[in-house]
Amino acid sequence: MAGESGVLIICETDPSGELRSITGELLAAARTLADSMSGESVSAALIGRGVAAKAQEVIALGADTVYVVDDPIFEHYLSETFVPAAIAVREQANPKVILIGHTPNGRELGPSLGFRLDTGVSTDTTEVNIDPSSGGLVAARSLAGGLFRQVTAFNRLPHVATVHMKAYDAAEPDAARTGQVVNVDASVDASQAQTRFVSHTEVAVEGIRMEDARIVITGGRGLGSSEAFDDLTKLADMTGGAVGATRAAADSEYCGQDIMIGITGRVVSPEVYLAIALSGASQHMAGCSGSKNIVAINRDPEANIFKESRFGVVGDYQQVLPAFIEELENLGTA
Amino acid sequence: MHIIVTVKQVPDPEAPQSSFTVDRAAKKVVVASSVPSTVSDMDVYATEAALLVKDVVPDTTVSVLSLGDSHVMDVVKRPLAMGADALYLVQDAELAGGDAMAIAHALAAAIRKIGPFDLIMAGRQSADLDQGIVATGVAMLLGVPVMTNAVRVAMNGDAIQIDRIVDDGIDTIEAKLPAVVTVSNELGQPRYATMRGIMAARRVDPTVWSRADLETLESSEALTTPVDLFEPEKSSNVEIIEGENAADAGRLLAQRLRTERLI
Ligand SMILES: Cc1cc2nc3c(=O)[nH]c(=O)nc-3n(C[C@H](O)[C@H](O)[C@H](O)COP(=O)(O)OP(=O)(O)OC[C@H]3O[C@@H](n4cnc5c(N)ncnc54)[C@H](O)[C@@H]3O)c2cc1C
Repeated sequence: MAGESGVLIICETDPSGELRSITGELLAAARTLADSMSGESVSAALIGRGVAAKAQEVIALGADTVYVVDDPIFEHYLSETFVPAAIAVREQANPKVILIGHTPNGRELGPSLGFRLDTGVSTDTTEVNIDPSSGGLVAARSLAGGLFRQVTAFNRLPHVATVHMKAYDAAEPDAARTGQVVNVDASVDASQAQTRFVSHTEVAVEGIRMEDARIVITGGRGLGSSEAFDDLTKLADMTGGAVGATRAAADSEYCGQDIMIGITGRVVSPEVYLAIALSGASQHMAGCSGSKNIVAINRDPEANIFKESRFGVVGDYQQVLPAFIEELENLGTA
Repeated sequence: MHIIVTVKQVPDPEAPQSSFTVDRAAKKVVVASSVPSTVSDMDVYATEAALLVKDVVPDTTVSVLSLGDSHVMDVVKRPLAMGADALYLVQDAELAGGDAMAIAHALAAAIRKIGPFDLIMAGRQSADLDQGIVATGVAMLLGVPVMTNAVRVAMNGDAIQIDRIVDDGIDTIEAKLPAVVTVSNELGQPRYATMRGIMAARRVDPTVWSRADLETLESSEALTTPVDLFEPEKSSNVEIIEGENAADAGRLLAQRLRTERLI
């Protein structure tokens, strides 16, 4: 296809049909790119079941054109159905750049789409820019779990990147923005399907979702037991925070796997990230380095986490933490 | 049933950070010679997933396929020591240095040469590059379905069923065979190599190929161009809160965070 122009993002919705926050983040990234492509446009693919009603919201967040692929077969994500849908939209939008969230589903969609289109892909991209000389995308991402940064250019159009969660701040929705809505019929033949959705099991969240929490309290392997995680939960309850974990803590079964933060886990950027008895491995930091204030408690003064922190206490958490909690109780609510 | 596990040999990611540096001009990571090689850890989970299927499906063969240019036999034989049966090595510096898309083409060509398969299993992403692209590419190139980031795998009749962690919980999905499944560490602790396994692994002669052997290699053209590789600057200005003892420091930290209106 010749004549490519602008940026296409792939929206994500939750089971109740609401836009996920990554959608606004992608639109913000796409707007900056489109503006540096001398004002080319931003389009969005809205794929799902009963999602058509959300098109205006996507426009309010920055899209110029929304391609709606609304069909019951898109109720649950399966690459086998979403890839053809995304390709149908791409054929109409004909973008230079396609941005997808580096979310559980986007991690699969991005590379799948790249191979279908026989083009290069950058995954978990933390920064996207347009190279002024080539007009093409340059994508920055972490390497070796975050030790290094790698910047990549693409040799063929379109350029596909999955974008790190929370790497961009969504714009405030502007209800006055106008745009076009185009319905796309992505005739996917479900009878030929090789994959099948079986069921969805909701994992109950106690308290606040960690992605929305102002304070995240994360425990590492150094906590040594699941009882210690109970203390973190107590502290979270006191402060309105959420509890997270490192992979080493989760693998040691001190807590559930679903609260693991990091490159293969969840991504948070709270106001305060309280890191307790964790070393600050780069793979872990990939999930929390956007936090405004990292506060570390660790008995090893050389631990990497101190290099990333604003405040720290060097000491055994078994002494530090009870006193910290007690003092907070004395101070009363903020 | 024939399962192929793709395995990457990487420098041990748990080695001290100071043993990894960059050659910015060459846009390459330089690894100190003291760093041992290891199997990329997610590929060990992929091996475990394959063996879980082998445990319940009679007459299952698990083949291991690795592309690289400096295979260490003890490393790439670890999946065999865990219970896999055969080893295929593609040894080619040029192929191994390709981008994710080129590597997927090379692996797909090697898999075609190995022959019919029912399942391909791979780690969700490699420990050195963290891209998570190659296995999905292999599926696309071979024209079979892919399911990524499995935290549970099980046969359901003729289909392979997996659980995967999604935003608000867990999705259970399944695919007809043949299929590609990528595996995540939440699967659970991989089994250890047994003495018997280690002895059996020693006796396995790997099949070794180079680029010239992969006649069906359609394309290894790079689709991306490296622009830069560097170590991000870290401005460390931590304020260490000290007290008379650890408990005192904890109290002072609480006070400090309150003064800063952080907690
Ligand atoms: C491909 C790949 C992906 C990965 N993905 C992730 C990921 O998404 N998330 C993740 O977290 N990890 C991930 N990891 C693992 C990561 O490399 C580290 O191994 C892990 O983060 C370490 O967890 P930790 O800090 O809890 O444990 P450790 O590194 O063992 O650190 C424990 C810390 O606790 C301190 N400590 C011990 N006892 C006490 C005490 N009594 N009081 C105070 N401090 C104490 C120690 O000084 C030490 O600093 C990944 C690794 C790979 C290879």
